[in-house]
Amino acid sequence: MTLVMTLLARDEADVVDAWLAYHLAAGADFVIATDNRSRDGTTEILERYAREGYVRLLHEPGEDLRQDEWVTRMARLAASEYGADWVINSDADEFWWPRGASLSEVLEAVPPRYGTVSAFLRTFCPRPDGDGPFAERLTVRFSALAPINDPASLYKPIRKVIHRGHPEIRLARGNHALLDSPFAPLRGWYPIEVFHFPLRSLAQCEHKARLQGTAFERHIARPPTAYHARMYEALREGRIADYYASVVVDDEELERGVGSGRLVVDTRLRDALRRLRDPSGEGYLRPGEAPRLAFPTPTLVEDAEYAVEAAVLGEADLVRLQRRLDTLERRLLSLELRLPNRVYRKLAGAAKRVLGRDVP
Amino acid sequence: MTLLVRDEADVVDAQIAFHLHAGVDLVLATDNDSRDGTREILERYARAGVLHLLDEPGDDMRQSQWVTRMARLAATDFGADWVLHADADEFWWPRGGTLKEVLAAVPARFGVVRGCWRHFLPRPDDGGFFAERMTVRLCTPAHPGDKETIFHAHQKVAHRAHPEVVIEAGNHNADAPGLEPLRAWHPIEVLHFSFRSVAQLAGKAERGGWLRNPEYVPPAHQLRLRRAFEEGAIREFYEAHAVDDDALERGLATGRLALDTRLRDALRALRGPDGGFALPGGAPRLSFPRPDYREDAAYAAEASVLVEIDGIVRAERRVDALERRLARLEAAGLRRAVARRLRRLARR
Repeated sequence: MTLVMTLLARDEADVVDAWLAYHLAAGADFVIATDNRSRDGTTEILERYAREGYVRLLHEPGEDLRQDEWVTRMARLAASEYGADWVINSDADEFWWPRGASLSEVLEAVPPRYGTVSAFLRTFCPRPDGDGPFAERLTVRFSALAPINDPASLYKPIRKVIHRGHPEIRLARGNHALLDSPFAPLRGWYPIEVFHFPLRSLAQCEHKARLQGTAFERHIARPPTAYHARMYEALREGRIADYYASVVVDDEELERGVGSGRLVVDTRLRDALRRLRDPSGEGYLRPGEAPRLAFPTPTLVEDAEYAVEAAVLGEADLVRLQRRLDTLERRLLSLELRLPNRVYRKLAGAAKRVLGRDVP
Repeated sequence: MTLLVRDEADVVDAQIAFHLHAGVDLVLATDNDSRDGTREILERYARAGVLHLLDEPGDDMRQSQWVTRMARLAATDFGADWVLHADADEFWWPRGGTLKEVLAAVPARFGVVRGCWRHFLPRPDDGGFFAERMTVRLCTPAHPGDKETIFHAHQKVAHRAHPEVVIEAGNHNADAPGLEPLRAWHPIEVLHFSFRSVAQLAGKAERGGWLRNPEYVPPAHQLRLRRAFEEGAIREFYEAHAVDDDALERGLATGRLALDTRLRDALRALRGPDGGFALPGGAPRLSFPRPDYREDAAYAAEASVLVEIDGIVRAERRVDALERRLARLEAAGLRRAVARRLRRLARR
């Protein structure tokens, strides 16, 4: 069983080393990475892993964030050139955490008639800036048990799709969907969590807002994700520091959030990365020297809580369906109100006059 | 646990003993005119104080009504926190911990949890005890919508006790104000042994009260069983469903079948040398290990279809159909619609 991960990165030097070290110790066999105009050292980190044979590095100079196209290219390469049985398409701020065994073991257990599995995105909150690796500071995540009514929330329940290798696969909507997929989805089972660290420091937030905002403004037809739009607006109006301060979870807020069940302290990634750090100094152990990470089987109580949180993913599907139904209803109504009814009313009126009685 | 039975002597002793050692505190049983010794088995547990016995002489199998009655009694008279509704041929197997521990893990705001049927296929009938013979499980159940066969995926319901609860026929759903279902998590496997022997199947076909319930529409598989009985072909019917050693080997190779001795082994621990089963306290509690990720994946694949019927896919299909109808209407239907209305008007 071969598991290939794809990675699209631009200026992610604060996470990309950890990302590579972690996934290569968690069950990924190989990484195909696309470096999109990085200038912060990301390229050099990727090149180092490429020299050691763990990464195939593509360079994409485009300014226009054609994410679907670039990720599709990598996902197809994974199948056609690297014999991938399964492919996980990732961003540099996403850490894929399997429940109960390694990534490859969990995916190998999927019965052959199913070709996609969904993973549950768990977003970690930004914490006050400080030194040291991000994972040491960012150990608080939002609980999906808390209701979210704001569609622009950073913490909307989201799932990401993992698929079997296929040379003609097509990714859409930022790795969240497949187009014309030949694969049957295994629904309702989320054996992998994705720890998501979208905002890590003020500087990183500001840079991300600028890159994404510019790309969407100049090059991309569809509207940006609502929280991206909000972030970009703050940037243009010179309020990015205020924006960031408003989303950072400080210690006081953490205490309140944990008390009310809205926030959860989750140190799983931090602890895994500590095991992978090079004891002699900076950075992480080479993949050949690093220990394989262990992923314990969750307890029944943990499973129950997880099931409750994951249930919102189903509900999110239903919300989208309701919106489609609303649209349908409006279209139907407009049709019904058109010609036939006008004609009918006129004729019914005429009949009433002629027959001298009501027509129902 | 509630239990509605009619002539289940070959399995009911094992069923009750199993659940009393798996975390059930009390059984509420309704005996629907059993004549094969079932009643005597129930009375033994009643005398021991672990079963409350109700009689229902009706011959029209009003299952929903009778189970609902027990479900409400569990709340009003017996102080139940949780109630599960089993049939005599079902063994509710918690996936880690006891039944009580599984249900205690459900967060407070949820009141309904579903178990997933896992079917054990009939084996050649040599007269032996069912659980010793039936250790072959079907890994590819039919779609829940497929009522041609009993061996389809389905869910069974457990819920927090509620004095106004209504249990749907078949014990697949429970409804009461404030009972919120925890969807897409099936922490209990319902091991299902519906066809056990020729004699048992003949009895089920002959005395099945469901044919006499005017409000009940029997699914195709029940009608087929009844027809086989009327034609005197129950043995052939049984044999057509039974898995012989050749079929077993083929099924294991393709992954359609699996060997599963969990229930056999659990019942061996509860069974005395005389063939009788232990009363609570007479044998150690059963233990239920937490399955690993491989078993989780296989189970998720079976439960996946239940998640599908549980709303989303059914709704999606409806939306798709609506969209197609609408598109047709938008493209060409306007003239037809006018013509239809005119015709209707002309008829008046």
